[in-house]
Amino acid sequence: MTTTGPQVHRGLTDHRNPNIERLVPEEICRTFTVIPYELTGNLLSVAATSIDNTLAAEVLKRLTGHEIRLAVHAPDEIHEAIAVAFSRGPALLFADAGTASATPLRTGEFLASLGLVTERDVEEALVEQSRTGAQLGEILVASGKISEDDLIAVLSEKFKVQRVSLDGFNPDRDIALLLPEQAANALRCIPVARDGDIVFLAVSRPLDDHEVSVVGRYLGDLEVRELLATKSSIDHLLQRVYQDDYSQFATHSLLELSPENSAYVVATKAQKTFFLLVLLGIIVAGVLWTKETMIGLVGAASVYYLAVSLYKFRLTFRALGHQFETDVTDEEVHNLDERTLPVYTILVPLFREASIVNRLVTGVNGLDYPKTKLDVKLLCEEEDAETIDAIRALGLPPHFRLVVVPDSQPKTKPKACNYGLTQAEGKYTVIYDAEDRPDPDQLKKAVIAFSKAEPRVTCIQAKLNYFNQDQNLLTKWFSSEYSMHYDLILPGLDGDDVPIPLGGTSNHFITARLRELGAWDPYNVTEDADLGIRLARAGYRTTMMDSTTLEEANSQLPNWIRQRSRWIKGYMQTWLVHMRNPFKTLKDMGLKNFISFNLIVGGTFIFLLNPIFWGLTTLFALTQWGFIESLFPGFVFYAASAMLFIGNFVFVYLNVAGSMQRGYFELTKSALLTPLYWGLMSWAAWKGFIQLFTNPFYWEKTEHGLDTEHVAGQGGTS
Amino acid sequence: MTVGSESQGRIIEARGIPLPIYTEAPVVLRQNVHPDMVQSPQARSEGSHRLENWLVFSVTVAVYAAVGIWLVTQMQVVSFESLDRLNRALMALHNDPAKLTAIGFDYPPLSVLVLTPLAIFSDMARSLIALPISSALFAGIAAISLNSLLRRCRIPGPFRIGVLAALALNPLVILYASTGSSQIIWVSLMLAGVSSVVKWFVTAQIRYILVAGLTFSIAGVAGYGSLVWALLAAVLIGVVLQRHGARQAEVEGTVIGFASPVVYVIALWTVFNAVILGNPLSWIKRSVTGDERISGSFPDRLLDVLQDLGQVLLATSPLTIVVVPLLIMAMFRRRDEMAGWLAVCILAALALPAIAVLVRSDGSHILMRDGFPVLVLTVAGACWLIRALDAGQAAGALIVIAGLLGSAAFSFYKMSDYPHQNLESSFVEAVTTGNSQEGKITAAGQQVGILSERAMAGYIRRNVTSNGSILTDNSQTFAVMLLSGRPELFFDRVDRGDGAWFKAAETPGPNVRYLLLSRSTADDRLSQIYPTAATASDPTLQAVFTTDRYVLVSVPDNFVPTEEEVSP
Repeated sequence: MTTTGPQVHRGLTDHRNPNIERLVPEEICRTFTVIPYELTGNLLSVAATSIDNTLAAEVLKRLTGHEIRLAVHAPDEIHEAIAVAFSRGPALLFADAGTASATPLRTGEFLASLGLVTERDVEEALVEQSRTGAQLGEILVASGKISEDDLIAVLSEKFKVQRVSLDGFNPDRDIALLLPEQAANALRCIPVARDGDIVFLAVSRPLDDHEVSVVGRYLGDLEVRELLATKSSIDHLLQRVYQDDYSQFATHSLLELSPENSAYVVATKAQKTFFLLVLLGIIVAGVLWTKETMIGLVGAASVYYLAVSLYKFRLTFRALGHQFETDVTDEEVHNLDERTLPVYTILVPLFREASIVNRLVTGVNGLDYPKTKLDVKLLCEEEDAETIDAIRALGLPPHFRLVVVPDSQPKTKPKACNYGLTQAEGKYTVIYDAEDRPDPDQLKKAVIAFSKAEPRVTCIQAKLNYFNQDQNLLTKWFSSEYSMHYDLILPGLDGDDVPIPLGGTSNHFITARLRELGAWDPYNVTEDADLGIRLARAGYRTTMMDSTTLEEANSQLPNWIRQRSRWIKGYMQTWLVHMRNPFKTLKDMGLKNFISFNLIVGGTFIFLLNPIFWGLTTLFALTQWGFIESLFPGFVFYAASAMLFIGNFVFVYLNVAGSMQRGYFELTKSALLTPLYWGLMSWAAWKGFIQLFTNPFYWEKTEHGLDTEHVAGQGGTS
Repeated sequence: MTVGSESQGRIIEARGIPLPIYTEAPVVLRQNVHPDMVQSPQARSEGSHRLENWLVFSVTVAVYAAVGIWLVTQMQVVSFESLDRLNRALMALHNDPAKLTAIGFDYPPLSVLVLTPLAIFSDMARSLIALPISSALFAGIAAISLNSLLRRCRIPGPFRIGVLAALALNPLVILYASTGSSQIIWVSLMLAGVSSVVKWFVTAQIRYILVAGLTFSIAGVAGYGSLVWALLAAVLIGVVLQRHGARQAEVEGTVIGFASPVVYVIALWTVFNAVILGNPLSWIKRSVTGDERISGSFPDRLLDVLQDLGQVLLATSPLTIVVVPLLIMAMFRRRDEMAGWLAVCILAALALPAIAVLVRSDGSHILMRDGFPVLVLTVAGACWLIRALDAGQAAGALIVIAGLLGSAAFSFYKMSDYPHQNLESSFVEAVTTGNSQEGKITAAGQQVGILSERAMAGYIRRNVTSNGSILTDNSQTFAVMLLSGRPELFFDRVDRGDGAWFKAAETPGPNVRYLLLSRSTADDRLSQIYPTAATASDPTLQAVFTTDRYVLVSVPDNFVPTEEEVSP
């Protein structure tokens, strides 16, 4: 709203501030006989011949974005002030790093004189500018010292480019599509209007010559007029215009690129036929040769079980003695030249997690990475108004982008991530969950690790663990398991250079290769594990990095069962997908990787076998039933005995080992009770297995934020 | 002393490095890991020693296996205890039906289990080369462990080889490492455990605790005595961590992490003893009780034992007399916990057989083989002393090498005549003369050789084909069963348990076609039932083949034992 205040007859020649005077173009000043002379907060005082000049006030408001207070001055005095103000050539309102003609000091003085920032803010920003090479204005915006609108106003003045507000703007899709999405996204610009041969292009900063030539390549003979708009509003507009395309990519990219790798179909006809024939064969053999068939089944299961166990034991035992993870030292991080750091995209899928948005923002801001080089995509489902509102209410700086994923099936995390990936600006992309607490220097470590890695390394997986490990017995077990998995098994796989089924978060990708692979499979409920296998099949490699992200361990049994059943179902899905054509997979991966894949991902099926073997053992112990004894002849008996007495303990002990390696000494006692935990895993495995037939794409949502009471009980903050 | 790692403007400060004197590299603390750990969670690859280890292992195995095959198959230097264990392994795989219970409870289970892979091919077991191969493999493990420990003690490469060679040439070591003795199994595993504890002490890396725990647990089921060193290691770990300011949780967690595998194997074995033998502590009882108690006052017996101990120590490991006092001095003067711990370990190795003899009180003596673990631990202790030297590790190693060579020569001399021994004198004679020891008498008065067993086994292989057709007490005729290579031919006490076996022994006619009997009725239950048959003079149970030690008699279909035979 424009305001008019009491008349002020202060002389315009007193304490002149050229930066404020030239917030409005000379033509406007002369047309309306006005000149700004003072800015207090958001209130711009403007000298005018009359306080009733509402038209002038409205124009000035639109141009500057500030509230306007008109003060009456003599026309001559105003004309004289205009003449003086615009007689000194262009003003240097904004200093770019490395621009010889700009001096940071003047920029700082200017911003301070506008009252937008303090001198101290400017000093800090200059320090960061010298460290990161980012633009001063962007640094101040990212740190929340000035708003995007302020920045645009300043840019507008500097480059004499008209600015435009896109709030509520309804884009003309035909005009917007004059520039292809790829170019629009890369340059962060979008055509918003057309007048004959003139196209008005909304840009977040004036384009350089190269960028102009790129735009010209697409627009041909059309003349381009740039209009400055905030980055957020351009992003928002891009999302609106390309929503359908993004959605199409998110849902169908893999399906179109390599349908044989999509879990869109759980099992192919050939697979169904094969499994049915096997089942039929077993039934027929069971009828004809009951005992022999059962011995064969028990024998095969025992050998398979033993092979999986021995392989995992080998991996973990090797990992105990070696450091296979890429080690990035503190010194290397310290010596990193931040000016060379690339833009890093962080995808954060959110669903009904309004309560932890604040925590998330704090966590991301805690990362030791230049904010101006962060591209944080907060991915929300369209129906999740609560979370969307919570994010909007925070008024986040522009390195946070709210991305609203349109409502469509399947409604899964990978689809949301794919949607976010379409707009990713970073050279590298990482996924974090909302409650994640990565090591502050994890992104820098990943950049260094990529620079050290061999060229085929496409993904670097950080370690995962839990911050609420001591909440209850379930979280203790869960933490022990994670410690073993991420501190021993995955590094062991890395050491063997075999496929690593990725964890749910903290996997860092080279963005271009991720797109090239078709990104995540939206139909696979463990899309991360599947992607790890697809990377290997494509000849790429995943390595581990010695950096940790702490997550929230599931502390409630029903919630844990839901989560675990999804994971196990996803592993089964992944195994089925890549075993559609085992020979092709074998050819793609090589024998070593193929065996490892079948033992690690295919090894999930042992959770289904556990209850059967436990049942047989218990029944035999109670009844000494000879039939059960007869099912375990000779070597089958020894394999089963070795698993029962040695294998079980070894796996318990590896949980203990993982906890100790991680420094969670408090967990060693509970780790000794993990056989009970395996019971829960088998429960979840059967649930997932049944769901594979009944509801294969259903995403069992994990509820987060269940550690609140625990944290409160500890008197801390989560 | 503390370490700090600076990251993101925050200092992570450890409360203390566990081992300020010996730590080789600063403890590296990770973000998101408990900041006040005194141990390092990081597994660091400290250079590759794989080639060196493989070389040491391969050479050791090859040499001892070659020497062992010559000793066992040509010189007949093989103990019946080894044959019994190998036969149990063979039975576990090839008996009809194959049963794990064939392993039995007379020996620590692993001493039999480790032989089972070598008994997969029955001919390999029958030829007895499985015995030298098995002991040579464990000698290889011991050599790697010792080499690794020497490396940790900063002994230069050539001198490490020198120390290893000097120890490997010790005749006691050669005998136990090459003839399939059970001693080498548990001593090598115990040494691996001690080596891991030392590595933990010098690097503070947690993984060594885990390896030590696993190793001691395996050693525990190879030789129950190893459990004592496991207990000592647990105490050391707790004390060291407490002394260096670890949180209570870290102390507890580390000790639990170390001890849990050991406790597990003890618990498992105890349960097996309870379920199968009806006495959960049967394994302990069998280890410390003798056949018959002798009279005599405790001070007299103690004096005898101490005399034995002194003689064994002199004969096997005279270096101990120098090393233990030096270790104790180091413990007090340098506050060196590891020196003190190694001294206690050596003293425990001396005390254990002495206590066992005292408790058994059956007139047995401390044997030469009881000095074997003392010798190995003494070498470890000596190397630790060398490590503590500011300089001159090479000179220290030379002194140890000289001491070991002198000790080896003296042991070789004492093995010929020390009265309380197994096959030591036969070994010396075989090595010096190159003559087979078949039929020779050891310094302890036992006859050497398996000619009788070979002959009986040969007859059975040629003439018997039906499974389960020979009833026998396998606890006495195991050597024949083993050398036949076909345990399935025998109806033994493991097949269907003692109950079924005794029933068959009372009415063998419908059950079997032959009885295989020991000529001695002292321990053979079947010979006790049929004493006349055992002397090949039973008119009904006619002998079909006899040797000096065994009789194979045929059982008529309508055979009915006499009343005396049924109730001997």
